[in-house]
Amino acid sequence: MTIEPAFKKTLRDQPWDYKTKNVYEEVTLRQQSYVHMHYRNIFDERDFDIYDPRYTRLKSSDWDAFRDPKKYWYTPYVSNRKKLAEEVENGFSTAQGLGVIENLSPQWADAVRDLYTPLRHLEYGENVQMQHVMRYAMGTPIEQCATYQAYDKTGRAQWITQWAINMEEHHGDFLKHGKEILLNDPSFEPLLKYVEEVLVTDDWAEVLIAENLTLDLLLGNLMYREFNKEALKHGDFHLSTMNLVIAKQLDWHRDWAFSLFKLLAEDKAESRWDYLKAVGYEDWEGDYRWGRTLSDPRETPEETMSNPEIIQEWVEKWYPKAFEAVLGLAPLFEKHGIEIDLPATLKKIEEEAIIPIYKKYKLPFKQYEIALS
Amino acid sequence: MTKLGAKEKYHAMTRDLMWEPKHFDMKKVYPLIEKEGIILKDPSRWEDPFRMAYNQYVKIQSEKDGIYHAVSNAFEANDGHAKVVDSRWYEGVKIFAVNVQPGEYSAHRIMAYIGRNIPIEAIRFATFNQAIDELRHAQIEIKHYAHMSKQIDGLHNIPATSQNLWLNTVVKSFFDDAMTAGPFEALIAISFAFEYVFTNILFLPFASSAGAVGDDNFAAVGKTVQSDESRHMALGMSALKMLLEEDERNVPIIQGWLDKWYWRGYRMFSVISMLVDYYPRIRPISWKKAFETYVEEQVFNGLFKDLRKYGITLPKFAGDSIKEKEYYSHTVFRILDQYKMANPYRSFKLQEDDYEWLHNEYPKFDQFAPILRRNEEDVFANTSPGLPAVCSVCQLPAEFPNPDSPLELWTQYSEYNGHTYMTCSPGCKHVFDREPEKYTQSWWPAEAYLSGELGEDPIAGMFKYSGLSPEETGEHYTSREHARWLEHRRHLGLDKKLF
Amino acid sequence: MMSEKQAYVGMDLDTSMGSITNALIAAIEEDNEGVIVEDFAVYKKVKAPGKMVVNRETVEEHLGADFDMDQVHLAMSSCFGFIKDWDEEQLIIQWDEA
Repeated sequence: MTIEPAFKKTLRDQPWDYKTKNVYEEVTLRQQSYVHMHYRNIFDERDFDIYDPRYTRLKSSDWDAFRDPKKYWYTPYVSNRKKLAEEVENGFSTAQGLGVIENLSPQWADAVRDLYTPLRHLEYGENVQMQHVMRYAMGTPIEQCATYQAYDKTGRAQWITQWAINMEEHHGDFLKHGKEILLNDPSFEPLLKYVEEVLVTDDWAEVLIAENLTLDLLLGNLMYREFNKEALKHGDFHLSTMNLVIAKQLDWHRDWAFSLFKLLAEDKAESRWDYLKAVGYEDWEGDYRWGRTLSDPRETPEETMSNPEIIQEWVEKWYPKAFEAVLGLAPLFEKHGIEIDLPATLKKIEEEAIIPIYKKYKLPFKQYEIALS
Repeated sequence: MTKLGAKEKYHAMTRDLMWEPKHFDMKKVYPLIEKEGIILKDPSRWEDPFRMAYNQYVKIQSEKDGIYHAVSNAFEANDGHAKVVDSRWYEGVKIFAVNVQPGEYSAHRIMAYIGRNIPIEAIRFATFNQAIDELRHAQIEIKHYAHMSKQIDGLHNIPATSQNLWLNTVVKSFFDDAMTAGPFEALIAISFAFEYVFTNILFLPFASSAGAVGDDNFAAVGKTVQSDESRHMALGMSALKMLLEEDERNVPIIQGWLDKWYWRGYRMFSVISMLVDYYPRIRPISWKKAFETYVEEQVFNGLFKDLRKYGITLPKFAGDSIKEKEYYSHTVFRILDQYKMANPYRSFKLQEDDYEWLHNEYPKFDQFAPILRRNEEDVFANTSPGLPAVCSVCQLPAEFPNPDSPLELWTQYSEYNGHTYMTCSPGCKHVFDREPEKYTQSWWPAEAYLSGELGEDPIAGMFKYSGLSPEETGEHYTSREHARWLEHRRHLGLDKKLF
Repeated sequence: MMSEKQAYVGMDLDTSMGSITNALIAAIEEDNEGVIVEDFAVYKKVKAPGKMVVNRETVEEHLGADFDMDQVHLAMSSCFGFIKDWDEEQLIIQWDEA
């Protein structure tokens, strides 16, 4: 039992007027403003507000309703990532200490030089467009996840760089060669093109589909999970230990994005302006009748497709592209004698690591049909 | 193969990662890159001096957070709030809370915008770091206020206050201005004006004040936040130099931004002058001294001397800010004292030791003292009815005296599209006249309230939509908050005179 | 308008970092000319005319323990001057022209 003190120290039990359940919610909810912003971007002809629901086609009845399944805010995020960074560093130094790197066969070194080194650029490119999501996504709960994911991707690009630097000590050039392969080897061309297309994708929610719901599942599971079996066969503890850590990030990127799209797919918002009611402006007449120099946002036509339809459209646009892009690596796998049957392995990933996830989150999914050529 | 040195390694970790787009036009990937007239030739010469990569970042930041949260937890557990020398300090903390915290959050989104749109790898990684840092600051601060909100008034709906309260448009107008500018201008706004020139004065003197009055938590907030700012300042300075060195045609563009953003930053931070000079009962430093140290010595006499070789001169209105240092805090305190029934941070009746300190530090204070003395009879003696006419640029009430002739107002007027727009000073008028179209787009609370945007009764609507109640405003020593604080101290036995 | 008085570079060091801050200040005083230390209670401003060098070895001598140059981040609340170099051995802050 709790004994009531003579003097009650607190005025209220909840810190904020809106309900919060934990520190994550206390420091996340409503951090982005939803109304009363000044000015329009001087170079953006669309005349949208600073934070505006029209930066995506998806509608939400409450942009603040999303919750990160891991509940990361800054402090737990950096503290968790500190552990991962140390795991990677310790893995590298153990591998170096045990002479793992110098004992790798030249054939294996050649293989990972070609297949692995270019990934640092692709991860980084995905990070760059994640900055776009951080800027334009609606509501702090969503953009906060994008923020940490972007940082993870940068970190990953740097881990792979460090890995390559370690490899260079014993096996000749990696970094320059990797960039050369990325830019000029036909096997990497579809992946390069894919990431560049992500970079010119403006709808922030579509960017998340193109990274988290499609490419990252295929390429990530292939290179950071399936590939590990090969790495261990060749005694490459140096690579596999890093992959193991990357796979931990990968799971979180998948889980938060799927949770988000599940929430949006189930959302019954009829108008893209519905969310204003949820953030305390239910009876409020709105900013928008009072714009003298600004155009009336209600004049922008409402999206006619439903959220599930739009999500489906995007998945069907990006998933086959991603599948083909990853499949494009096949000649390099073959060249280096990697014992991974790429089409079969990707199909296996689809069966085991993609379809069940789409099912779990009740999102539409169409399997990729490999054309027999 | 030989081992890479620290510099080469960092190079590989950051600037070598991006590539020139092959399948899509550069202008499609970076649509804003040429819009501002900035010419880039070979920005790769620039070096990010901090060389803080991901692993280092998460390790250092995690340790810094650990240190901070230990201080914070101890403060909260040990009734730190009741132990400060005078509870009016927390009215100052509220000003900081409802203004600075949302500003940090905006800076987070702005840095993402900059990092996405400026393809200069030499500076990009620093912008990525800063984007996540700013979220750190917003969250460290809001977490502290979540605790404070359980003990003091005025903080229980910071988002609503920030969105809808009239005076909060001041900070918002600065960050929204940067967010709607091109990415290079935004970089100068945040990294130069906000970070380099003014965050020191924001966090360090205020941290000193916090330490002096016994608010260990806030002192720790200030120092831990500012420790990231040294990276941000380095980014600002180096980016500035790089842009100036790239092409001499950049110089007039940059000078124009320095002129604009110096003044924008200076005006936004006006309330800090009052927070340093008025709210702490024990004052380790005055605004005037802080301004001389952090702006005149470190910026004008330091950075700007270094920039002379490019043809850069001091910001156009630097002289005005130097002249105003004798008046700034008194003017701002006087303005806010007049509108204390419409803000969540209460004003307060000055005590004799306050008059004495202000008199000793500021010869010009004696001009203001008689007005403030009127509060002794009636704490609302100076209250002005309604809401003030605000500056079209900085959004502060246009009630600043002309420092050359202090009995006159400094208010300026501009004509645009058949309307007259008012600004608080020559500096803000200059900013308005550069981009009148932009500044006519500001959200003007008084007009919005009166036009019924917040309902039939604008006063009730203002309180409702800004998350406040009338009891949370007014004067501190006569407030329920002060009474509660005294009660808390009695409960802890802190009211006893021991010597 | 710009005066010709001496431009300083320097840093604001968090006094709550205790022995690290003290060792940094002692090392800066040992390795630089004309150092001025100003006490702002919760932090100390250490400045030197035009240029300041922090050497890891000197810091270790005063700290009596190993010192990683990354630890400077924990104590340095702010700095002024261009950071010219920051590696495992030293940190250099300076103005080019001032």
